[in-house]
Amino acid sequence: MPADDLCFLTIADAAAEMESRRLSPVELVEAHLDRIERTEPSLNSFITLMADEAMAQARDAEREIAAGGYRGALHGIPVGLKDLYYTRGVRTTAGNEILRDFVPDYDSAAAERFAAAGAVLMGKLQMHEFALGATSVNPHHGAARNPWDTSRITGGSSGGSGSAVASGQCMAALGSDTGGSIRIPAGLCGIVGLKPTFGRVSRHGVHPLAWSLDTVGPMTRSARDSAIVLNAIAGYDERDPSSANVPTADFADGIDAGIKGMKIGAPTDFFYDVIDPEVAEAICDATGVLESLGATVDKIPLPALNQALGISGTLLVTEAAETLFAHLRDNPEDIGEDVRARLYLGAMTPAADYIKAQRARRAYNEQIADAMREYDLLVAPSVATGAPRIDQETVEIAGKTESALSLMSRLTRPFNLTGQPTISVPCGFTSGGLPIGMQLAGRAWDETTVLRAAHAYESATEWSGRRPAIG
Amino acid sequence: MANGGDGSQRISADAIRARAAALGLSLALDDGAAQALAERVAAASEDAERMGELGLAEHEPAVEFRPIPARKE
Repeated sequence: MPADDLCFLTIADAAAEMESRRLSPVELVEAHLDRIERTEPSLNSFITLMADEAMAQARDAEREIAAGGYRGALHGIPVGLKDLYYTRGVRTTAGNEILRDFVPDYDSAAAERFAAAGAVLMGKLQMHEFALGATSVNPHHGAARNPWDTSRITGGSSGGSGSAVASGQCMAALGSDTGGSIRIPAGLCGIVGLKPTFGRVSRHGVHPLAWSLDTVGPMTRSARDSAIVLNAIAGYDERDPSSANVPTADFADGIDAGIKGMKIGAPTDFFYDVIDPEVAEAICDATGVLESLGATVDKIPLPALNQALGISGTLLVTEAAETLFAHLRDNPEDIGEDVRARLYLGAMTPAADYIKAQRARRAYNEQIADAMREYDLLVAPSVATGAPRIDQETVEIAGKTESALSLMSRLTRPFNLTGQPTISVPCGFTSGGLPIGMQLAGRAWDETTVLRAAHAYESATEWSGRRPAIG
Repeated sequence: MANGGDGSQRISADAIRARAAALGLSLALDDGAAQALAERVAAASEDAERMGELGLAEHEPAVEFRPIPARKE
């Protein structure tokens, strides 16, 4: 098999080859490093590439597997971590200048779990500074570039994770999602991004942004791979106060069961108020596919959604300002202008507004929960438009000028407030060849249904199989 | 901080600068930056006013903003 084809295997397929020893971890990692060498100058996916460490891990994995010590589906698989996951002995910048040389002395829980599963860490990935933004145009480390058109953004904040997975530099990556930072780059880069239920995956050792919203999860090229990664990283961790002690299942179990009889709600409020008609049409087509697979799709009113941006905006910037206050006070010149402006806004927001937002959040969540009593899933677009150019500050939609930045997270933030599991799965391309994503949001703790529906959809369509021409 | 007359709290550019100084934020805010920030704070407060349309939750628990079952030890 040509080396580049190895880089576009799914984890599930590569694991089967690895377990049967038809494919070696060294061969697989070498193919990825070769691809990184050729594509990285165009993409800028990595803040820190760990080529030597990766090769050493690959050789260890090869020895272990040869000795009969195969650990499971991630053993020998090349993965990446957004550069806010602490990695012992490897710098962790959070995309920021102040932390440029920060080297943690312990691993994040997710890094521990990846290591325990035998995954090979290729490096630390680009991101929007402090994860407080959705473009991954980073003033300190450059812009992450979209593999489908390198003049365009990846989305963010987990932009390097999006570009690395979409371009075949890694088979999976972890991102973090406070207002959409997994699902936005997944949507714009044409891959699968899962925001698990809040509390499902430990945040221990993940540089925080907003304590009541931050969620970590997998970015992959298929729903099944997303389940494989979630299997490795999910579970209670007493070191993370937000970690919930709830049972974890095999999230890939039953993923082939289809969606016949599933009830899906398609909210008519909010999601289609500001949207590129091509994106709206792609979602309409996708819901038709879901129906053809045996699901019932009902258009439903859900007016609470109209308050989502106000609530999440207040919570996010206020909590971020508290988290990052010392940096804002002591080193403001070392924070990019866009992030600094958001932090100032958070610092100036009256406490009464924050409290009101939390009270409104509870009311909002109750109204969304009412809908989820009737529906297994909600369906919505992931991002309102294809990826804007890196230098593009506004986007024209239906004759109106919209801020490109605020447009990015507009449609993802509603599901951060509820904490419910939500996936973005590729559902088409714009006429300009840019990926379009669809969100499927499930009930709390029911990632299995979300993954099953995403898998059924991607199996019935050809979007997930497309590869960008880069490299 | 001043009352906007409709019950909302509005903040002036001068008040923004004063609050930044009180917080120890050293970066000087010029008139344009302070005014822009004041407008964003005001817009956020207007958002907060509109949140009332949802019917705000009462007697919010001190902690626990998550739609999840209680933790088990």
